[in-house]
Amino acid sequence: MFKRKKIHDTVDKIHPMYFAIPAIVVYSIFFLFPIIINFGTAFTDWNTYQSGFNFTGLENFKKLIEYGDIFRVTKTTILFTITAVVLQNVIAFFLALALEKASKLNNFFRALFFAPAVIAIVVWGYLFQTILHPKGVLNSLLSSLVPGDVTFVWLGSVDFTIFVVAGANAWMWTGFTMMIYIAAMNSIPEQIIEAARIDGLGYFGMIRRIIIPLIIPGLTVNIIISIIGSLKVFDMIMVMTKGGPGKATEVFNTWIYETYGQGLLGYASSMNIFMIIFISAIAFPIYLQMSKRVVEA
Amino acid sequence: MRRNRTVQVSKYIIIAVVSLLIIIPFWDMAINSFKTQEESTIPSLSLPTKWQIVENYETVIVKGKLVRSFFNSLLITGASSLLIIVVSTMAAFVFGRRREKGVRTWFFLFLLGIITPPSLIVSTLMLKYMGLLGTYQGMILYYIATFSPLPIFILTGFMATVPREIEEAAVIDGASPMGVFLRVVLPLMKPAIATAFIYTVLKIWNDFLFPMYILAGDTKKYTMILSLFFFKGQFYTAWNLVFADLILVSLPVLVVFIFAQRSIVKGLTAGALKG
Repeated sequence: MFKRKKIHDTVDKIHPMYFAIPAIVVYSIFFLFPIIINFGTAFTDWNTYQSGFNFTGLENFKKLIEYGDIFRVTKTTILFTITAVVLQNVIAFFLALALEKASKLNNFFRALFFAPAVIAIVVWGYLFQTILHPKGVLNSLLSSLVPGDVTFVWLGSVDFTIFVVAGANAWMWTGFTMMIYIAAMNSIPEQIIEAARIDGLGYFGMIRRIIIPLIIPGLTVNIIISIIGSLKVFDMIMVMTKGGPGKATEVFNTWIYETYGQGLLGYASSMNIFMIIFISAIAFPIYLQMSKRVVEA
Repeated sequence: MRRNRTVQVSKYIIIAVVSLLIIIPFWDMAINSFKTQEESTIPSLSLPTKWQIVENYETVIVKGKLVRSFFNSLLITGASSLLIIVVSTMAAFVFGRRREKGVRTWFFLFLLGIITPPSLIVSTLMLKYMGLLGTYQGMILYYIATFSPLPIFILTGFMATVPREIEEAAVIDGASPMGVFLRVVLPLMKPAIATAFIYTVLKIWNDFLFPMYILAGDTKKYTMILSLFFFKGQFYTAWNLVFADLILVSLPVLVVFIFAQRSIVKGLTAGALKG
């Protein structure tokens, strides 16, 4: 007993804290420290037209509320997120159901659906810009399916362009989400499926009563990842619409970049801190669960 | 039995139709990069009447400064990913074993970095005061800070599965901490390291947001993605050239994906699947 404890003490010495120091130092200086400073700069009139800055109290936040930017941008980001998350997860779920069994053909389709996720978002953003052009590929394909000439302006609407951009985002990540569903489905024991089949459960009964309840961990992970990813969106919107038409597709990250570009650093950092708190608050419960999983391992 | 077969066939017909949604954009991108500028004014799916392959790609490579930006991307992605793996593996070596409050607090702070967006405004200005804005070192340090949380998470989870007995045996044989880390733990962690490495390489290679803030001031240091963004700004009417640029920017990752599909899927879904 005594000897055993002694070895454990030695093993703790074998993992000295200094091994973690490089990561901690870089992370503290370039990630944590700026966030802490950001809590201060959000209350200043810091900008590129004057040297130095003054503390202006709640002025920046008053402006964000008065001009409505904070509500508009949050709403747009949430609309984008809900659309992308729902589309991506529903389609990915059914693709996963169809391709869940490993075979040469299925593996080929899986790889094909996954392929968009390895290429830069910027690339797809530009491509979709042309595909969605009034005279672009999508409209001409639609024109060949329905009577008449379709000249729909996909990226020019104040009301629904945000859904179109969210659709493009979902298009890109569906294969990625599908892979996670496939992994989750493959972990369901074969006997359970077999037993349910013998009990005479039909296709949809099987989905509702067996598959969905048993892939809850994979489903949770998928929803979390797509929510966090969508709330942080930048590339797809920056490239496809630059936040337009007007300000209709402006999300947190594009608003911040735009305001930063205008030199209004204090103002931009007030939205930045709001975004940090907003996203962390949504993701925090999830994050606690994730950390528990590792600690208990 | 026959009914089963019809179901199977119709299933694959549906999947084949859905897969057109992926194939058409790829085809569109490739075919329009072979056209003349007039013909690509409105990109369409038809074959080019006049094929203009070499000329288009040559123009893009020269005017888009793609050779330089390719090596910039390679340097930034390679150096950042390697360093991320080094610091993350070392951190996981501690986080995966020690249970004191201080160690746990740091681990939790790193986990926070997986979900919390960075403060780009303050970071950018801070890099400027440090003389690191628009430099490779600044970009690389920033990537280490922002992209190490997930690898630390993955590697710590893996470290917890490395049997203590092996370490204990090495200690009894007189190994130092560095010896245990390098000769005992590192070889065992290889699969997790590979996964984490692929994750960081893909994320950094394709990243657009951070270079926009940190490297956009200096054309000489553009990554491929940045060079594409500014090339498009300059040649926005020449879709044939822009499309050739899209192809060239995608090609490196696509080639790697075709040859190392399994590892890439594993790397990208790492945060999701293996905690």
